[in-house]
Amino acid sequence: MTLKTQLRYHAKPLTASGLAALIGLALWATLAPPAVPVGVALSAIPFYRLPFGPDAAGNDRPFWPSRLESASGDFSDPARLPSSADCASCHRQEFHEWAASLHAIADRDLVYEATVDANEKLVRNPEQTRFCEGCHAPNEMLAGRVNRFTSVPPADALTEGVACITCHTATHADPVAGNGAITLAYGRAEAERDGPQGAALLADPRAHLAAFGAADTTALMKSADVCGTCHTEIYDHSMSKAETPQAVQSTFTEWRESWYGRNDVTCQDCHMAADPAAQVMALRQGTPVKPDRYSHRFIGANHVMADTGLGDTLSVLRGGLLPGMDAAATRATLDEQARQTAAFLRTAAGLDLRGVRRGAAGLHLDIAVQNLGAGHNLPTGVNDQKHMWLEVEVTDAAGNTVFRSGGAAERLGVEDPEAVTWIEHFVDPAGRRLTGHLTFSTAEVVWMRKPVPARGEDVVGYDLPLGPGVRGPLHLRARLLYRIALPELIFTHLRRDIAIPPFTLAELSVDLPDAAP
Amino acid sequence: MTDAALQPASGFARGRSLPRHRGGSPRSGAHSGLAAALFVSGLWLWLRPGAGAVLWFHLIGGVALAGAILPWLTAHVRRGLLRSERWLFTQVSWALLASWLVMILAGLLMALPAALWLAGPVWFPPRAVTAMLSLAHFWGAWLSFGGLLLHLGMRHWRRMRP
Repeated sequence: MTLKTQLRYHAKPLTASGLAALIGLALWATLAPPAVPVGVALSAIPFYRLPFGPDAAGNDRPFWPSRLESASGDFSDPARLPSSADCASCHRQEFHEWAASLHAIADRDLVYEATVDANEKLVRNPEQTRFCEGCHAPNEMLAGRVNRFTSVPPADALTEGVACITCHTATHADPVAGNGAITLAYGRAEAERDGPQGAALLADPRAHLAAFGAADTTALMKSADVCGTCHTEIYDHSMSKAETPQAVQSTFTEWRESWYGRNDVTCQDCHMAADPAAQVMALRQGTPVKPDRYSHRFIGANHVMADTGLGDTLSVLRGGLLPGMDAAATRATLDEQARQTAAFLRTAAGLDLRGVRRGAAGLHLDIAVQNLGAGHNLPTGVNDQKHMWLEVEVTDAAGNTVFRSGGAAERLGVEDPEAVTWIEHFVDPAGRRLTGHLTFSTAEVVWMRKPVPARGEDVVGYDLPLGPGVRGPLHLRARLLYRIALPELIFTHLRRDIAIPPFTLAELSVDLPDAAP
Repeated sequence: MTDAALQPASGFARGRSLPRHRGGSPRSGAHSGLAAALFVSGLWLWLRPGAGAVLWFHLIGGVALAGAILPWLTAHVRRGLLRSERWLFTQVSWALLASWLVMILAGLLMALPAALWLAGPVWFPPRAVTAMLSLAHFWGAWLSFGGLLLHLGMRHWRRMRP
């Protein structure tokens, strides 16, 4: 059999060139320097302390009392961890959205830092703050910097809180155990940095996608589990004075047991929607819908940390400018963050007058506080600080106040013991209330009034003693107010009297003609 | 190209009076050589993503081959159509052309974000599109190489009946 002329002719360059390429590649693979190993062994971090001993199986617990884990078991070299600003060279929009979020400043937030310092002073081993830093500073934790003796050099990535690499390398999460029970494969991020970057990365992004968009990570990032790992907080004797586990944050389980959890409306669907308020309003109609686009703003309830009206104070509270951000860009993204946060908060709650009864002693009012849009309890989170209260004022025909509850004093930051308030108290072993979020001294966490579950309501009754001089018609004005932190916390830890403005979640204004004396 | 060069190969004039067909030209041979090197380097990259130097060779070589081979292919199709005497050969050749175009187009689209990066703007397609382009480029390369060998070795003239 004879080969066709064309095949005979082309066989030579095809074979020769193919073989030459193969030999060249084999030589290159043989002679090229080997890849730098990723990860830093525990023994390679000078003076790293393990004051809480091994676990029941005898394994080291380098991040305890946080449940954070490193996938490889190793620490990371901070110089090789990419900062979120590095990600911004291609993912600009995501970076600018994230830069305004609470996640970005989780480790820079001055109030947080001062609270950690206050807690640290309470204990013998400063490493106990790993409980806080596991969620607030995973980069610092995995670099080995959260230690009595800091032997690891700083890096941009370590100044960021919950950064790009945190979620984009997550491989496992336990949202029920909480307390930062997340496993992060930072080795992937380190290895990826050694590969081609810039134009070459864009031409062949498979290594990049394998590092930051692996199938296990992508599946986890779409689920509420990844959020629950830090939005579930349980105090026990490892980090507090509690004799029995105390549920401090139960946002994940609140969500899981709600209509939202049952209908696969995840945390991301609302808090990462491009327009979170519109998303909540659509869900309030009862149809589970997914947003068209997911944003990295992680819109939540903290309206203060995006309030550009605070001027330089906000910059100080946020711990200055993030790597990769200038003042103008920060201001622009915070303005949008503030707008979205305010709109989002306004979708959460409602007030409804349920009943007015006249009795011998006066008037009885029933006001329903409704959780209309939050996929978890209202309020939720760290509720020794984040709390809401009902302000009720009844006026007579002449405009005189005949009844008031939770009024001006509360708004000025002085707690009104008579006000109806949804708040939990941290209590120390002696039964004293702790207002400074002193986790390490807390023995018990007590709700003053149980929060309102998703799609639920709490009917609050008021008895109004009406004097003989009161002339109707009466007018009821009620406001549901929310404050992100107690003023005592700021003053105690920062020694600054910074106003923490409350946010009006819902209002009710109605005449009570039938109830007029 | 002269009319004589475009004469159909009816009966495949293989008479001794005609000069012996060499089966290719230095230009098409160079194309084949570069294509083989790109095939090997592409396969290497598929198996070991993140090899920077290999990637740059593959990128530059690929763009160069695309630039060189497209005008050559245009002329080759015009000439070849007139010479192909077998329906099957013609269909295989069209399929081969399609697979080459898919491979080249997918490769160029994959290189576009890199070119834009070098020029300044940052743009890249969604992940699903990137994955689809990558698959099209990979399988297009196998089809193109298998098809090329078939094209080169397959009889394109009609058998002479005794």
